[in-house]
Amino acid sequence: MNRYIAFSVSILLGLLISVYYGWSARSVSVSDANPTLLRLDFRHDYVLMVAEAFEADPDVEQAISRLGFLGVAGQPYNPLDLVSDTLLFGTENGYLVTDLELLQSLEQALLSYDPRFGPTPTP
Amino acid sequence: MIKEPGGKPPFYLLTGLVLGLVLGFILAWLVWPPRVTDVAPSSLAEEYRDQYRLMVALSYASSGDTGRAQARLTLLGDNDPVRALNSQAQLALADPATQPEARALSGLAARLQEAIALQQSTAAALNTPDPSVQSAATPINAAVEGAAYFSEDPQLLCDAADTPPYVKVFIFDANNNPQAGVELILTSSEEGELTFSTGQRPEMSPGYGEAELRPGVVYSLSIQGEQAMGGLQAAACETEAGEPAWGSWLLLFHAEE
Repeated sequence: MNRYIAFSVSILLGLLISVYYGWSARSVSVSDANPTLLRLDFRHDYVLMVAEAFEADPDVEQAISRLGFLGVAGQPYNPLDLVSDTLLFGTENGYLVTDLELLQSLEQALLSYDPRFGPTPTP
Repeated sequence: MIKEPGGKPPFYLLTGLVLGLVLGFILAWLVWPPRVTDVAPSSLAEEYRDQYRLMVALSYASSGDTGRAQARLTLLGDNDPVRALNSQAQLALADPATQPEARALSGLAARLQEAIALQQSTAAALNTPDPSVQSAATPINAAVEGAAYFSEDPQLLCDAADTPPYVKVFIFDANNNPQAGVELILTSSEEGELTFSTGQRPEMSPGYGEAELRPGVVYSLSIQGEQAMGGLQAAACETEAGEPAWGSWLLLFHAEE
């Protein structure tokens, strides 16, 4: 075999081994993650907690601020989308009816607070 | 080993491999490290963990659901959730604007402490033998017709006050010889399946096997995959000296001829 080809093959082999190890085999531990990396069900549970707190203290601005926890820093987010997504997730995953009602209540409050949170009307 | 025409080993292959490993390391560690997603709340940075803990407390203040709050706090992986809540409440208390948050955090801390104390006292009560409460419910022969083994009546042994409850099983073959290597399975809804076998303590008998019972758990026993005994549970008794103790069930099985 041409030694240049053999040399290239050995480089490629080394590359594949360390890339495989670095991406797949290596266990990566995280200790300073931000909330956007939370698993989906934990994100939805956080939204449910906001809805539960909203029931005791129906302060919409406070709820919007708390939902901002799940947004990406420096980027706009729509709190209504977060609540609607959780409502859908909860319906599909067997949330208690009382929990779904809390989410619906928060969804309505957000929509009443600022209709721009709602879907854009199409002409 | 492959040799170069000049007689030298092909070190360039090793050089290439090392070069590739270094390049791969740079790519996978520094340029494109694996993106971690789907993390648990315990992996959040401290400031986010505080916000998550606060929301657990505020939702608890609204719903009063201790079990749910406890489950959510477990996700944060705090070594001492009560202490974490109290520390955060102290910080919130220092700011007049966050008094409701402080109240929610300390309220949950107090309730959690009560719940943990109750759980511990219940566990302690369950683990303390009391013959007047934990009566010796006799295990039930659950063997089906035609089973390979039949049992003698179970006996409750009450030897020492400081030993945990056991089930002690002796298996004999059709000629009444101790039978080693017989698979025994204890099954319970709380602990699943625990497999042990005879012959584990040959100094007792080749046909002897034993397993520890957890107080408050009801087990069934299978021999070689066949149901043999049901309703097996730790029973309290009194030793000859009058001390309360956990008794051990002695079960003798004989193979059908």
